[in-house]
Amino acid sequence: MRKLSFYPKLAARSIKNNRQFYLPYILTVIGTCAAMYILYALNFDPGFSQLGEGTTNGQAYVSMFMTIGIFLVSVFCFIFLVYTNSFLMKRRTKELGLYSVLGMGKKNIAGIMVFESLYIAVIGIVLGLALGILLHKLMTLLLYSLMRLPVPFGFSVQLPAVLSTAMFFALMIFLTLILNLWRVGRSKPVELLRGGNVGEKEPKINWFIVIIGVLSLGGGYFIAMWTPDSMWAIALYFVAVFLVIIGTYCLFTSLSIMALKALRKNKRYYYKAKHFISVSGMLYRMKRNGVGLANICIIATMVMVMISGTLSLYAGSDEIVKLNAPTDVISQGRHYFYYTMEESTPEERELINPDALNDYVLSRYAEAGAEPTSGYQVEYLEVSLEIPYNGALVVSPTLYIITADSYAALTGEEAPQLASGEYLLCSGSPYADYFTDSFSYLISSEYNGRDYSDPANYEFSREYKMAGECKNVLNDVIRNQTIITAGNDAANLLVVDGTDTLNEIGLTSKSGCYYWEGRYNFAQLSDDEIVALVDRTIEQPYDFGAAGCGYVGYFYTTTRVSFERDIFGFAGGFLFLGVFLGLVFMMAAVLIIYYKQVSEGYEDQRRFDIMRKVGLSRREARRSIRSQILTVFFLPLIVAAIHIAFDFKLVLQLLTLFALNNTTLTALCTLGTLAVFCVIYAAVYMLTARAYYKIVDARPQEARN
Amino acid sequence: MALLEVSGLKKIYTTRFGGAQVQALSNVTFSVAEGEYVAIMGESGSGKTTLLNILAALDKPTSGKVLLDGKDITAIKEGDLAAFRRDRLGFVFQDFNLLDTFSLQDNIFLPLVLQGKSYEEMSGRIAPLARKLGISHLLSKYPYEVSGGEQQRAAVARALITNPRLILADEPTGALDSRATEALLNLFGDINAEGQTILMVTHSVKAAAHAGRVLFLRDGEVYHQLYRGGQTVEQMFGKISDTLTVMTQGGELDA
Repeated sequence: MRKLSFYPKLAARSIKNNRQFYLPYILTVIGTCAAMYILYALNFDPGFSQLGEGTTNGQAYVSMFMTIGIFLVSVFCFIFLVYTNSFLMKRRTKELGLYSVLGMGKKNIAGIMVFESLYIAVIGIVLGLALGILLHKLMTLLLYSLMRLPVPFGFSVQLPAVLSTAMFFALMIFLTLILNLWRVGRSKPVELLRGGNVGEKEPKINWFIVIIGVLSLGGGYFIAMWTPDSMWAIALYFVAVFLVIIGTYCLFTSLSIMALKALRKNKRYYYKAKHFISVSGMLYRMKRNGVGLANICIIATMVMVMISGTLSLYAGSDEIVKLNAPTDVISQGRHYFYYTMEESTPEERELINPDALNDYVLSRYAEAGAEPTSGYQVEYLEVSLEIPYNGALVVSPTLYIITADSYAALTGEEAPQLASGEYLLCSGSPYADYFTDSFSYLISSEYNGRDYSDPANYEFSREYKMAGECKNVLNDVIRNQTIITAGNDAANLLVVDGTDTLNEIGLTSKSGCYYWEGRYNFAQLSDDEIVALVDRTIEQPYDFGAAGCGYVGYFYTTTRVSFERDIFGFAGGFLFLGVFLGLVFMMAAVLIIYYKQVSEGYEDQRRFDIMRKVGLSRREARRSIRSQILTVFFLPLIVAAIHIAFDFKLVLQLLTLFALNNTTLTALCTLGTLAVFCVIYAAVYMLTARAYYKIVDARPQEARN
Repeated sequence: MALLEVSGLKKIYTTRFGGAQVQALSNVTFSVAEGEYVAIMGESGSGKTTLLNILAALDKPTSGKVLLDGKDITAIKEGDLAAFRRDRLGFVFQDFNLLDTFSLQDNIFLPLVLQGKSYEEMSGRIAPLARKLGISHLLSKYPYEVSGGEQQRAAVARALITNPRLILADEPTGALDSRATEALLNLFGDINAEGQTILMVTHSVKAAAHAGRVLFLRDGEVYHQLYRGGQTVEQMFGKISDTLTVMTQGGELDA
């Protein structure tokens, strides 16, 4: 029986001797562990529940984002730790083989490995938690300020978060240990000793994979180019992502080999000192490299898409607030027309009287203690019409009709002079044709109870005549300040003379809704006072009928403050998650690159030693190494940039779902992210390339004995 | 004038932390004439490998001179060494040192590519050489796809293709079976017969017996040398064996 201190000692020495591989591994455990703790701690943070007067969703957003984050980091940790662990084990097969040749049984080797895992777990988790606890406060500050919430005081260690994190990583390391033990249990000592030094077959081009790759990547890019609007974008986004990922893997593994083989065929190019060594070297290991490069490419794309998307949304949030909440307070009343006339009471058919409603709402504010410093009313109709067009009856996409006064209030232009039955057209929709020159529409069957099975019974509305086009097309201001569904490019907007026309069309349409909005500013009040004011106005129920306002089917009041907090709660939390996950993924990419460089360094050491003997000078060696590393390094980055270029349109469309419609801003955010990423990537390149040179360029004297 | 002149060569290694000093070569002097086939023999630790590394300009002597064509190679600048090696010298190693990433043809081309020769010139040179070495049908194969003997012949082709002044062979038969050894030694004999100067370091009496002259190295000095004269390989074999026996006994006496 050996002494009890035998395994721990050997395990400690083994880690120390292999520190070149273990240090990055342990650093990864520390980093992911810290990240995980922070996510858990933010998720459990009791501070968020007491937060933000006037926000309904602040805590919900944080919790949702952190839950997503925890899930993603968990999955990612699992894949990543298994990946790096298998890499570590491959490097160590020889050492383990030596142990077993020296007479250690598999049980002894297992003993060493148990202690190694124990050390890694203890060091990684303890330091990781310590780092996480330190950074937690910083991250809280960052998150709160991104969400534009008041920063809380104090500093706390979240015990449940500590436990969850520690348990998760203990489990992960335990799993990798089991995996390693299984691997050792299966192996034969001689195989272990021989290790990875088996000559590789030259990679063959697999046409099947090339075709799949081309089709997937082409398909993904096609979807990205094709999607006509945000609805399609959201439906197909993940399909496109999936196809691009498949395509990237296939093409990196097959197309790269094809390209290199073509280069090799070109004798004049190939038989030049610079290309000769690098092309053959890359070709030799491209098969294995392909997957690694595809990994790096996909991670890079993911990081950049995540950060640029969330950054664009965050940067555009002020604009979204300005467009969607043009005044401090907006009260909205609706009158729905699609009730069946038979079932509704006469009371319910009372149309809204806008001026009476405005007076009534203002009187409620006065009762609550404040009068607005400025304000205006907006009225519009959202309606669906059946229109004769090219000899057939078509249902128009949702049509928005606003009054001339409302149009003036929204755009700041003079109110257009229109007679009853005249309208202005805001074009910009592919369906604008329905409304050029003039239109009339089928009067709804529900309106007059006729039998419409016979076209002879069709009755059409009067002819509305187009008096001109709006100076403003369907622009952001109109789009966002009416309720035209974000991203609904099919919508058309008409301007008519006044409220009566809105009601006339609403009453005879297939379905429609009249909106009234009173928009008020209270310059004399602070944000919190405005929220309190609105709360006081709704303490007593509104009685519209008694005030002579007509039948208001739906009434609500929003404040800019709550909208702002909502948007920033969302966009800030989203950006935080994007950057946070971006950093975690980036760490992974760096580690993959590092391991790749180091392991290749050891493989190339012998090659360059031979070439030096045959007459390769150190300078030529360096030059050829550089050209090889540069290609391998920057290929994924270039492909990632192409992916992002194609993805750009999709991101724009997705951002319209959040009411963001600013191509310039998004382009700037994307380019900025790309630039920062390139800088970081180049720095990583220089660091890892140095590690590679150090290994390859080892002096012959040292290598000899 | 001799092709290679080595005089008063001395090499002292200092261990990494400057502690003990190890004298690998104490005083080596010999010369090799153009067209000679010289074998250098000696036990492990006699300084063979150190000598070869210095001749290959991979290592610098502590003192002494190595003249190749009258030019002192120990005085060549670091930057010109690589060019010197690939233009003047050809190498054959014990473990072949072929690159797995290249086909045999590309392995043979490697020094020419480094010289910047055109593809036309390279393919013009390789055809007759490959025919002579019997590897014409193997040129598109990769090192791991052919036998050890075939790999070594490819390595010889790589050494010869630059038309070097001197071939340096380091235990060329060390990793070969007896049949392949025989074939390789015959090949060396043929090449030498065509005028190629060869310097071979070896443990193997059989290999040394093929050479025109055998130098015996002991404790960092040339201890003895044997000329073939008109003797057959078998006679040479006997003489070398006798010399080694004497050397071993002498070694014991010295100790």
